[in-house]
Amino acid sequence: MNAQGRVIASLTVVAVALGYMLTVSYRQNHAAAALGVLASGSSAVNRQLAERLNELKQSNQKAQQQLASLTQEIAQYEQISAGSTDSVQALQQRMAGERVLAGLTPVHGPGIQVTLNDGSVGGSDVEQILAHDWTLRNLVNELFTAGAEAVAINDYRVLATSSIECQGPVVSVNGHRLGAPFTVVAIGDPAVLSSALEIQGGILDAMRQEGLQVSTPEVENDIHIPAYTNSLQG
Amino acid sequence: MYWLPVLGLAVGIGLGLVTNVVIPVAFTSYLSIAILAALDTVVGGIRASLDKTFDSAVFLSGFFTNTLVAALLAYIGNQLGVDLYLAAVVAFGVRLFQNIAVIRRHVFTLIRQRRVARRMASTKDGA
Repeated sequence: MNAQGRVIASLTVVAVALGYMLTVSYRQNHAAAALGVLASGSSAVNRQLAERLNELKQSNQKAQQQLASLTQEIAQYEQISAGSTDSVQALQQRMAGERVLAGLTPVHGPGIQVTLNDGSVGGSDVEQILAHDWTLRNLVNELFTAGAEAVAINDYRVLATSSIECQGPVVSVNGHRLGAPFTVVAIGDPAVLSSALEIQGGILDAMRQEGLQVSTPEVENDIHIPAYTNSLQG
Repeated sequence: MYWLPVLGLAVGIGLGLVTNVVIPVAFTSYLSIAILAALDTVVGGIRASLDKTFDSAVFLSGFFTNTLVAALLAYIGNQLGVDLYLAAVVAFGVRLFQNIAVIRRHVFTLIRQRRVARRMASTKDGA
């Protein structure tokens, strides 16, 4: 075989292998991208994951907006179909009340606002001066006990089925991770609520004793609390 | 004769499409590095053939060892937590560009030679 023939023969062999590898890799990348799994570590993967996260966040936001508008629509239809008979009206009124408790509708009304923050370092134990999950839980329980109709922490509605849990350095409310400062708002009789919290030796006093920075309950005329947006099961 | 490598490439692509081979996801990045090495070797081979220094044994062994070593290097780097695949990317990438530049020059020289030869032929005809 002459030199030229050799060049062409070996190039052909190599071209077959190269073509095969290219196709396999191309298919692989395509399939992996479709599944959303690629070998981790490369920047392309990270970018892809970030994009997916953004997309999910956006679709999440859209879905929440849709949910809010749909609930409003349902409420409107109910008002339209408000029955003529007393029993239907009574039922509907009761349903509206239950809806508030179940957190299905955004509510607004007079209430109070308290801000909790971690204390400043200076004591011996940092653990002592942090706003913990139980701090928030106690506060929320106190508010409900005092007759609050709706409570929210940093704009996340707290219900009977809500969870307020410790998640390392943050507190998770309904699965949303929140950090200090926590703004707790409650709708109800402002005088009753604030006096329930500010009572001598009461819950806010106890928190201040621990070293937390707690604002005095501010009375607000119109507090808006959003609807509960997580799934109601669980 | 010159179309044989192109045909080979087409055959390889067809094989890849037909056989439906799946490589574990963790090895995808190694395959990419291996492809880069293979591309570098092919371009290097073309350059060598233009330089008249082509050796089919060196070329063929280089193709397969480069591919495997590049993948192995990336694997070792992954195990050590060092981005060794970057070394392969840089080395092969730089060489790829250099070889392509050399090939380009060779092609220009060939074209000029041919043109000169044609002019010589035409002046000979005219005379």
